[in-house]
Amino acid sequence: MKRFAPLFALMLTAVFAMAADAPSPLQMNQKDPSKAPKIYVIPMGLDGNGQIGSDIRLSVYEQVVKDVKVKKPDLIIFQLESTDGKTGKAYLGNDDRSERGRIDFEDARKMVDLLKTEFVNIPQVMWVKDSVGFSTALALAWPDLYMTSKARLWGMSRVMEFVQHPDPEVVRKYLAAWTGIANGFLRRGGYPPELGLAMMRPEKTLSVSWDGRNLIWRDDTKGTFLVDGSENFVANFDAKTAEDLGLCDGIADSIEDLMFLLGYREWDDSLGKGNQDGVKIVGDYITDWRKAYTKSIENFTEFENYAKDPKKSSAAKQTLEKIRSAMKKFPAVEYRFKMEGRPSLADLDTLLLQLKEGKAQPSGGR
Amino acid sequence: MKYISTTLFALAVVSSIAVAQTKPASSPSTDPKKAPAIPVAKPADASSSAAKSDATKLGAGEKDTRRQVFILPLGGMVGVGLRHNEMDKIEKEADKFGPGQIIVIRINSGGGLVTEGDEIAETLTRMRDKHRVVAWIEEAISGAAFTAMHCREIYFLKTGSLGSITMFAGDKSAEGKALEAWIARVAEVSEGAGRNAQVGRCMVYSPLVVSYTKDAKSGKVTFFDNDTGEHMLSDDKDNLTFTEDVALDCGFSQGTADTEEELFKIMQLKPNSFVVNQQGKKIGDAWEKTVADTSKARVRILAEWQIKGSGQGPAAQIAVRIKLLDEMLRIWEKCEPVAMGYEGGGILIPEEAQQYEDLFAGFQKAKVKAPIVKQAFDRLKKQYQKELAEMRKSN
Repeated sequence: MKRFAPLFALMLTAVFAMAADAPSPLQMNQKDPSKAPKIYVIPMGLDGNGQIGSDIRLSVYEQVVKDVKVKKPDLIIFQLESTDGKTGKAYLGNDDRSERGRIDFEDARKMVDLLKTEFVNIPQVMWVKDSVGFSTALALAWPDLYMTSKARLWGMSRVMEFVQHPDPEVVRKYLAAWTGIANGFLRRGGYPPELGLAMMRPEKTLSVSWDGRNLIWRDDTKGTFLVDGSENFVANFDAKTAEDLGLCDGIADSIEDLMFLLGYREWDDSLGKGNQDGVKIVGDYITDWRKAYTKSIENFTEFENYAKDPKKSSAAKQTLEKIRSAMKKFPAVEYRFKMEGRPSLADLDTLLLQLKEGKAQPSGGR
Repeated sequence: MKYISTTLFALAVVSSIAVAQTKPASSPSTDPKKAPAIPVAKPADASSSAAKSDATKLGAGEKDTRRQVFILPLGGMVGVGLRHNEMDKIEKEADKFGPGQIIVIRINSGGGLVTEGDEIAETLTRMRDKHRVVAWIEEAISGAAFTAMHCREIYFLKTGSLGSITMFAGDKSAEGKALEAWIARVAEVSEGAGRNAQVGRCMVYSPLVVSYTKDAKSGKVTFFDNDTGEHMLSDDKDNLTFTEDVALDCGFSQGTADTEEELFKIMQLKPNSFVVNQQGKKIGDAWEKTVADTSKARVRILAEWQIKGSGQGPAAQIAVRIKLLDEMLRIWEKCEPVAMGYEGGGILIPEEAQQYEDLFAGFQKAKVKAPIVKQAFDRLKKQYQKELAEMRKSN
């Protein structure tokens, strides 16, 4: 019995860590490897618009889930394109600060849980076209990770923005809490906390050793390969480094390349060609909410002008109602408004009340 | 609008520290082996909703002997969304079926009030000796971690995190005697549920250290309050927060599951031996909705208090305010934590009503505050009605 103890221990561990993940996306691991899979692409960010909190949020993926259940694909490709400020290079100073994402960890966690549990029987792959900021935590929630040749896995150090407090002991509390929460996403992808901590905390070091294809990440400099020996900078990965280390499974600049790396020589891309997959749903959502947001900015400028003239209170009220309606339809509009110091939904209600009582101020911002 | 919230909040924190110092060690069992043995459930009470739904599948005269599993989702701030009150309710539901039912508290919270922690401690300590009480962790930081650690079994979702129980108020973390008391308290809770005390301590205070060694053959874990163990859990610079893998490896958690089906499997619940009773979700969801609805209403009421009717003159505004006082009282009655303003925005008592200091003398200690608030609001309404009458007379 004793010699079976390690086996029993392994089996017990398997039993007690039973969070099932999707089946492998590799062709050779499919029940019927000869079948050409029907693929379904789900973008997280699209065509340069990938702001966490607005373009990428739980609500849009609830719609995607419904569609996947109808279309019944054989393989799901998550296509991540999210860079803070559109360039992801805050240090250059030419990024668009209004396009920096701000993560709601609960919303993101529910999004990942939804996609994982609803698609538990469908092979999935995460294909990163680019990721700078909180989106990198999302990318690492999937174990089967591919990148384009110019893709980055950068920016998880933004978690440190949550770690601000005058008391050093509270700082340590927040640090442990927020990095723990963010590392939960990496755990979902099967990555170890050492990797996440090095990507979030500058003082953490990172090295890696290999046991065949298995990576053994270390939070020190004693591994075979030193990834991050600096106590001033976090670990960030470009595609080549990620591939060399084994963090990503391969580099593919197109879906065709990706499918080739997965082992497929033919596949059914009718959903994509017919504009019938997640690209349509996510693309339409991003287009629609951004249109509504732009219109709401215009409406708010109009309101500020109307509010100066008591005779135009009716017109002022109408512009506010339009913004309110946009926010109700697209919470992302409110999200952006709040980020930019403009009124929230509650603030709009207050302004409407003030208008009714003849007390509206031209500026409703904070 | 000036509120008395800051003072009340500070008093709440101070009083909780006092309780931590003087409260005797939790009376019932601190022996983890005293968890109820897996029993045969008492036949279901016909009046319970789960029994009703199952009774349709059972033959006439047949009794459901399966154990009831209650999944109670609790989220939000400790003291607002995550409270002992909902746990008390589920305990009553479980008691209907006799001892040995299964209560899964699914926790998603970033922490909150220490005072609520005292109440939760009392409830869970009592419950776990009657039923199998399990914490299922989505996110459990600070006070939520303190809550979870009262359960003898903890399971994580894969994305789950638990820890960081540093106590602080405003800009300052607990220091001196208060800190010592809190460290001791969390250690006691940790040990009382069968876990290592030093693990609890390291969640509170970063200079404390804990490491562990795991025997490769037996899997037995030995903890050390220094760095001599094979695996460092928490060094002298960091507060301790678990992710699911580390929690599982060191035995802090009993497993990881992302769905109820997975959870039931790793809890080793035999198929057909249990039934999921929907009361848990009903209670959790109902409270979540109450918090959300009253929070929204609160924002509207506060805005209307300042603005509504003001354009039509003082009489109109007073008339509006009389109605708003009734709405405010309803929030006090339905959802006291939202009325207290624990999540910000101040206490839901207008400045004009805060003048009745004689009524608020016992406010902080009152278990249910709505009756005191009602008295204050009734007085203010009377005053407003008098003012209205005088205005009408002079017009």
